[in-house]
Amino acid sequence: MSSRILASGITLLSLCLADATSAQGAVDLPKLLPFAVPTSPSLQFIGASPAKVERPSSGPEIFTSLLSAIDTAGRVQQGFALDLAPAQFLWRNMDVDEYESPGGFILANTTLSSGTARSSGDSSSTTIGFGVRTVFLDNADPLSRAASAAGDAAIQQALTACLPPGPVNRNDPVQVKNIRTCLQRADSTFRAEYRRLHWNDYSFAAGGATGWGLKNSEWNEREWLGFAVWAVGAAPLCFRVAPRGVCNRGQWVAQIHHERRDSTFDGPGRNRTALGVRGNWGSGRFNLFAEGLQLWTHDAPSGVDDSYNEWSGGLEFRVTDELWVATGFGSRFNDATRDSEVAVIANLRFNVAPTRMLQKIVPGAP
Amino acid sequence: MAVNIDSRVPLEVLIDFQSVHRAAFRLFARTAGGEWEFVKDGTGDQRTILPPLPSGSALLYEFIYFAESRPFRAAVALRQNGRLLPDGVIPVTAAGDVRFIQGEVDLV
Repeated sequence: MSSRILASGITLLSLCLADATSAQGAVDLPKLLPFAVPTSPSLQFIGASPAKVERPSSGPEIFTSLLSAIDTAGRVQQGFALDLAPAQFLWRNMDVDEYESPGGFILANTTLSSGTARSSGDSSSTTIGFGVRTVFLDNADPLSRAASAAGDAAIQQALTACLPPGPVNRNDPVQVKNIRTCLQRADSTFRAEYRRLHWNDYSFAAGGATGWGLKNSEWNEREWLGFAVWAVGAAPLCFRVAPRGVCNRGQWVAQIHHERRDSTFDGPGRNRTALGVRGNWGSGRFNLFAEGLQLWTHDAPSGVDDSYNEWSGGLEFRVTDELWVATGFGSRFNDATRDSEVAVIANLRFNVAPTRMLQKIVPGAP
Repeated sequence: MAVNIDSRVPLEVLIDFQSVHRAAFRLFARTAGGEWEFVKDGTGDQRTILPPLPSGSALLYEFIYFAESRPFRAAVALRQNGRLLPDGVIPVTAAGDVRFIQGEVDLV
């Protein structure tokens, strides 16, 4: 058994099931688990990363986007990608009370996605994918039901603290500026305190995707490729929210991913399930982590083990509201050879439920 | 912004939040030549009934909210006798990071 220390650059953890080939043959080895449902399951499924993703916000824009996916000969165009938030059509005037309701929260955090890419090995053929992604629960979201009482109290307190008893003189730029500064401070204080208390709170997100290979890019010559599903959940260390102490210091995160891809002209088939569990110890800003992954390959060739596992550990710190940078080391065991390697890792990790889609898709939003 | 009212009947003011923001409002009213008087504040959709107001009165609304990347949207709606007044729905919009917005409605 040999050991090596490998330094790797920053790689997005969304490559969790990216292919790797062992010296002994085609054995798919997973990278690290992302512990987040892909933002666009359809693109993940077809392995595309287009330069531009269409995000239509009205009926005519959807129509225009879909038209751009089809050429004048009626063939599907390659490199098309679309993200759609149904809430903007079905519940345009949703307010925070409605967002806090279970139905409103799920709808607001549901996205549909579609994308196309060139089929592997055949430039005239296209792979098309369709996906859905939703967040069922995210108590770490400062707009969620869990944050309702604290959020209302914070904004009510800001009303008293930041505004004068009488009407604001909006022609006084200094007064208006001071009010906005005060509100910004109240906003930051609320978010920081909420994150401190709830960084490890319950959340659960899921997504799925399916796709077809289109020979000569024609819908009539399609072959179903299979499907993939993801589910990620997080829970506090003691399975209850605690304002301080040991139970506020830890978090469990688990992810399951299953993919079944049929063997088609688009590529070889594969059928596998990955389960990952991670323990975080720290705070909403800095964590030590340890994680394990178990992968089962249901259609492994004879002579190749159908299971695989790896572990890794290290530390991570938050760089934005939703993004963590992680570094550490991990052991990966290649079942084909029983060789192991210890790799230094440097990775990015998104929150379990990243990017509230309303923020991302509503017109005017960045 | 001016809205025609019937000065013989009460005026119903509805505050309707229309975007996902932690937000609150304040509402003031004054009669012609008078001082602003506080009417109500709150953090959710509200309905307030004001006594009949003479022509020349005015309403003043203020919204504050915590920033989000999406625009802030709300509406102030005026009703009398259960019916929305002509031009009686006043849209309130601002960029997601403005955090404070104020407006006035003349009642004529």
